[in-house]
Amino acid sequence: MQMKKNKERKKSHWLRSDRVGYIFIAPSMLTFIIFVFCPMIMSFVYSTETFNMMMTNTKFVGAAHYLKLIGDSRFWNALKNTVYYTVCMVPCQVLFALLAAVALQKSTRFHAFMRSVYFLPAICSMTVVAITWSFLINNDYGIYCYWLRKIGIDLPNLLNSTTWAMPTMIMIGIWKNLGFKMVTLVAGLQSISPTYYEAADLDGATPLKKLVRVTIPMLMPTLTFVTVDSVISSFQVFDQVYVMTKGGPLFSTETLVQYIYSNAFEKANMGYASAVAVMLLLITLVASVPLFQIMKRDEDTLS
Amino acid sequence: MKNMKKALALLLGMSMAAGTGTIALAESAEAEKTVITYWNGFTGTDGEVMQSIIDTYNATNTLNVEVQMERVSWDTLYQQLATSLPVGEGPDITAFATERIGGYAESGAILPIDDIYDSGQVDSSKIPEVFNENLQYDGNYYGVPVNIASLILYYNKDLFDAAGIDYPTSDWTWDDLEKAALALTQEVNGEQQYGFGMATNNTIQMWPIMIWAGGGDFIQDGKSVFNSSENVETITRWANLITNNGIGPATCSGADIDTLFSTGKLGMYFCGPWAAGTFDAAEMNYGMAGVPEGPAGKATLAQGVGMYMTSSAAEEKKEAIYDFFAYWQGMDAQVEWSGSVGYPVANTDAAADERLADNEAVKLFSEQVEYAHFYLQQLTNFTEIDVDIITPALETILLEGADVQQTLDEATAAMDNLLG
Repeated sequence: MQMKKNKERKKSHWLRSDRVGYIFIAPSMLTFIIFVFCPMIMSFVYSTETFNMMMTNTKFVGAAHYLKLIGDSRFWNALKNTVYYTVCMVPCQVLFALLAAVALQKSTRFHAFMRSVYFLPAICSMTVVAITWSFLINNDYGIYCYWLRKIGIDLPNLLNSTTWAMPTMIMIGIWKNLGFKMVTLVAGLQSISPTYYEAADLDGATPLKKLVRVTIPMLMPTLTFVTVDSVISSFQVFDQVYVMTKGGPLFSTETLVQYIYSNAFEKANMGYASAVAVMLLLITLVASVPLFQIMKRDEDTLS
Repeated sequence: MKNMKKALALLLGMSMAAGTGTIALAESAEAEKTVITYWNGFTGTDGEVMQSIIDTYNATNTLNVEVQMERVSWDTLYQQLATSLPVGEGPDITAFATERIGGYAESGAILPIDDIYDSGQVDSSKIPEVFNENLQYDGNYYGVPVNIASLILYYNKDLFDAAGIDYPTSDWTWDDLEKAALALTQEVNGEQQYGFGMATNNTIQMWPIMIWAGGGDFIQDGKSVFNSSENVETITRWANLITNNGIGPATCSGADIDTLFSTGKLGMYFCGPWAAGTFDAAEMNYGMAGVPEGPAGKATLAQGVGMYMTSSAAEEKKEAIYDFFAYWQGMDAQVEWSGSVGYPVANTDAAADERLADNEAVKLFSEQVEYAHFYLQQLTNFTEIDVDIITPALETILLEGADVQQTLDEATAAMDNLLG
């Protein structure tokens, strides 16, 4: 009898609603700790050491890597390129995705078809997309350049130009990721109750007014997510750069992650690469947390 | 009844014992088989030839060795080696170009194999001299030859015919090259056609061929000589032809220039034996000639790829690994490898083999080895010097028209800084 009671108490102990939650999140917490949190701590530890390719001969160097970063023009160049990419990418992406979402939110067959068209690049692998675009826009053998020349437009050699390589990367990045952002926004739009629009109609609101006064405020949570997600992924851009230019020409497309890769795997300098990675983490936090706060505040005041 | 049960049980027991016996036997045969894992970056037609040679070896070797090869792109290979070797999960053997030996040897990622040469299993006197010295690092042998590849001049016959000029020959000088390059550089149906081009990044090095034929070099006696007057003259001449006369694209990758040539947009360029298979498959009308002679004579680039035993290889596999290394240097493997891919022979005895007598490509590529240079050997920081200093220096001159002397002076200072 005593035992049974004990057992029951034990059971109820774990099934109490505030505790059962921990069991539910345990698998993802575990994954997070093993694959995100521990590597994060390890890269901080590595950033204070030097070691060779075999990870032997380890020496503690303290902040030496961080001090070296300050005077490393390649690091500042990579940071500048990453910011360039992000600053151009995020507003364009969010704006175009919003316009496309508003235009294509109805559930007619045509709209659904067009949504699939926009979404198509998002499900393709970036590597494949990047290789294909490199071929299409090559000035010497690319079909797009050939057609454009036929109508009198002579493009520069985009990916081999220090001026044009980065804008080209940004355009392709937008094209690739637009669809996913759009679909997220469409989902947000469709969850807005039609009663708001009916009320607006009764008040005689113009379509533009409805967009600014009803749609965007109601969409704020989704917009916040899309923007922050876009900032974070832009800071971490790598696959596209690696496949299309490897950071060239003359480091004009070298982003922070490309620079981390080149230090870690081409020069076997894991310690320094880890220091750059830690800096990237800090920079991403500094950029995305305030953004999140600001947008959250807007969201609160509007709702 | 009871007896019958007993008998059945006995029978069952016996058959079970016999069964486990055969399983045990099979296991011991399996255990004797030594599996060697081999990672490399031969992803072209050369890799298929290599696989067929390995299949033959697996079927015929007497030590019950099975070599299992995995091919990935070279970039991916270095990345996978970097993450697998430190934790002992790497391949038993691997292959890469000799300029990378320093970095791997210094950290103990690949192991010295002097005893394979001491015991005569592999004869070092049969290896072309320039290759032999670069299989060693710091007085120890680390590799055995896989292949040596020299670069030659490929040309598109159709473009030469259309321009009405003679095909290149191995007697050509820089002046002949320049004249033909200028003649081939023109607009055809509104499309730019180049005469002669050199890739600058992510490529087998092409500019060094010009540097050496012009009498210059990169490093001598541990010091950079990149800003020598010969180099300034060489780079000024060819950069001028590229940027002012547009004989070739200013900067591009190795993959880009291969595509330019195979799409008929480029008249001539330097490339190695591996390209021929691709051009044959595209049914191109192309020819091959020896590299042109510069002011300081003929010179070309050769790249040696070696095979190495890694730190992940268990001690008891060493005998099997050496057996495979020795087999690769043997006449049959060498003849099939060179004959099928066009690589110059890495075992000089094979050059005289009658099976290769009629192979024009092998003959041409082998001739080039005589005046071939290896690029930036015996360094632990090959990538920094090549990718971070020399390539950007050339690209700054070609893309931004930077002053040649000043750019080379800066590059030289940066190199000396790394060379210590």
